[in-house]
Amino acid sequence: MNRPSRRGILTAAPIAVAISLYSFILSGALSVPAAPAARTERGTQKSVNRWMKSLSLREKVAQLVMIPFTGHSLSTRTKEYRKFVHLIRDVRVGGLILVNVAQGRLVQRAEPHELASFVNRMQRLSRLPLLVSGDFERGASMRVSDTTVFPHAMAFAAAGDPALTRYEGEVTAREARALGVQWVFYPDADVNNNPDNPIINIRSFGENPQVVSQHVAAFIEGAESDRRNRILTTAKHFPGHGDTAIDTHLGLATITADRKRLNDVELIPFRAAIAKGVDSVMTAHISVPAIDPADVPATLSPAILTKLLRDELGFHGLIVTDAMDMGAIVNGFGGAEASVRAIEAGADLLLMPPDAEAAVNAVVAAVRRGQISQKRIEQSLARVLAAKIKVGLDRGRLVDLEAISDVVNSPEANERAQEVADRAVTLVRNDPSQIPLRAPDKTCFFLLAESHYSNEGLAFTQEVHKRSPNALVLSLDPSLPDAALDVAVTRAGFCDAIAVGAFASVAAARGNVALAAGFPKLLDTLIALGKPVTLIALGNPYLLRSFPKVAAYLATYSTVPPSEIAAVKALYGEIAIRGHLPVTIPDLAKYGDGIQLPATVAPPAESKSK
Amino acid sequence: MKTPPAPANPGATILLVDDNPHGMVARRTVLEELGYTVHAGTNGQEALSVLQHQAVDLVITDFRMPNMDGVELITHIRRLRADLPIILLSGFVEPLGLTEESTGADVVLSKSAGEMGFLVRSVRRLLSRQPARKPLESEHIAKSKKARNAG
Repeated sequence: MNRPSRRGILTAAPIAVAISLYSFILSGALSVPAAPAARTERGTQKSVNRWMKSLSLREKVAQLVMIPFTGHSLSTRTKEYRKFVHLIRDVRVGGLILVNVAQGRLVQRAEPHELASFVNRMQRLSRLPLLVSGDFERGASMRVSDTTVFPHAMAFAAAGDPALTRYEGEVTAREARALGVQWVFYPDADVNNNPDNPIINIRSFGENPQVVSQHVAAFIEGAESDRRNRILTTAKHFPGHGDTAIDTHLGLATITADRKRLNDVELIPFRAAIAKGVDSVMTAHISVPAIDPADVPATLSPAILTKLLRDELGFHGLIVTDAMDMGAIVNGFGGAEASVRAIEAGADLLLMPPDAEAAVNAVVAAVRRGQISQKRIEQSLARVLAAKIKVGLDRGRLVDLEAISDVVNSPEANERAQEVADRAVTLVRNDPSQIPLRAPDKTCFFLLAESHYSNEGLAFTQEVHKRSPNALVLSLDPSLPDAALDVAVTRAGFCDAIAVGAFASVAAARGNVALAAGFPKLLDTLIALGKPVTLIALGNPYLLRSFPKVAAYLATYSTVPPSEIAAVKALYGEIAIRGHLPVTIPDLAKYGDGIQLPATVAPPAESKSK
Repeated sequence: MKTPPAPANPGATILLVDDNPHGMVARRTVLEELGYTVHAGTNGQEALSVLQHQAVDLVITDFRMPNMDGVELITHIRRLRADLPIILLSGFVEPLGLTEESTGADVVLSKSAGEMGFLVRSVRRLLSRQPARKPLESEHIAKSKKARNAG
């Protein structure tokens, strides 16, 4: 591509921006045109047995391994492509997980047709159909471009309507199946009760276990509502990743809560998901001494996976590990040994072991020396094969590339996604009434992007300029020198009011959800000017804790363009502000807070048609 | 398991011209998955050589390439095969004012969001329709020079 862009050209340095769980669907595959009839248990069992009999021990174990792919096209002459051929055709791994490639904080998503082409090719290489999975936490858009862009989970909770979450489930299933993906690692069942959580935050439906449960159940219901586009759903990260300040991509975290607290908080959404028929549960790389004093991550703990999840909670679906290449596992236990321990603990599927073939070999060796029984392997294998049948992979495994554009990124779905973003906007502080902006044309807008290469702030800028063509909108990013930030402060001196849109997303291995270096000082300087400052949190809603002196505070709970548009509409009084905080901001705002304001003006003509 | 889907247009052959290996691999992979036979050329000369030796049903060419840009290539192709459907791709469609009329292409596509979807649809549509009227050759050359100067 020779298009000039803020994005720049990326090299494909694969990163594991990974992940979470499993469930089932029936095709949008070309070769499955009609809604398949419901399978009888006996029919499924017969097919499972037939497949199982055809596999050697090594192939049985390989079926329990999911390997990563980026969805980008690969020349068949490359070493990388040949590796896929080997792992799929020769080793016979059970499935794929879609990950993104990234450079720095810029994530490069897969293109829908390239993705589906690659998946089809891999499906043809594989003797048994592959389960193809992806995180798809805010719809397919988390991993795939040109798909419906939903905001993060916490925005759904702030909007307060599980029907919207159910709709997201429907659209996610439809788009996933059109792309060749049958298993999504969503919904997130974590209760985000730790404001310093660096990796869950806006990925969660909030801190109220009952509300989280409602949205988790609604997503599952929506995702499973259309038999022709059914996906496997996943509740993650068991037994709860909310109460930690450590990113398990970097190291092992510990939940110190006692068993009663776990029962009353963390486990509630998982119980709700299981009751709703969730297909899979993803494990957390978190130790929970109240359940397993051995201080090992849940992923490797028989007490957590088998005793608690299987026996006590009665979960019979798939247990999938979180990514096995994450720091919490690799640093403490090593890749291959951890795979053996995860299977021993009760996991059915190993997600992204650092070396897939080594993981297979290690588990096979453990079976041969009697550490793991063949029966145990076959129990997991039976669940995996039944899952493949549940989503119709025995009837058709290929997708129709020409149908993709008819399914993904529909105007209707994007309109509903915008509705979610609009309804999520929460006014936490407005003192004295800064919002709606009194004089938008005399307001300076500062947008603090997380990366020089990201498109954060573009939609916000366009929307402001539609309404106030002469307003000053400055897009700043962490690559700018201090001098540039000083200029921004000088410019602010000429404005009547200041609005700062601060992007703060959750990213693997970053370790926090704070603003980039340089920005906190800038914000403090702007506040010190004595002009009223409105802070718009585009992402992490806890930012207010770092800037408690702002005059007004608006939260959108997401960094996606629909949330930028929603924020501008709210600033200009074009939408009613009706969101409620799904979390507590310690010492500053209570759970459920949200100043309710009616719309005061009509949107500009162009926006009306959106 | 059922067999792979039938190709969208069995037997159709596409000449893909692009000097960017990433773009080439991506489009080639998708087109082959759709069932087309794809010949590749990394520049205008290679493309013309393929056209002289192979039966081709449709051409997809990038605009900006060394030595001979996409519009010049289209001009040459029209001399050989006036009725051959051609799709022109560019990252500068709007800045350069590239249109079907100004370039001689049947379809001009921007390399932007949704490009692959438009490409897939355009290929199918062009392969299933009658040839469209082409602008005069002199017009192609004039527009090509203008576009190159602008770029």
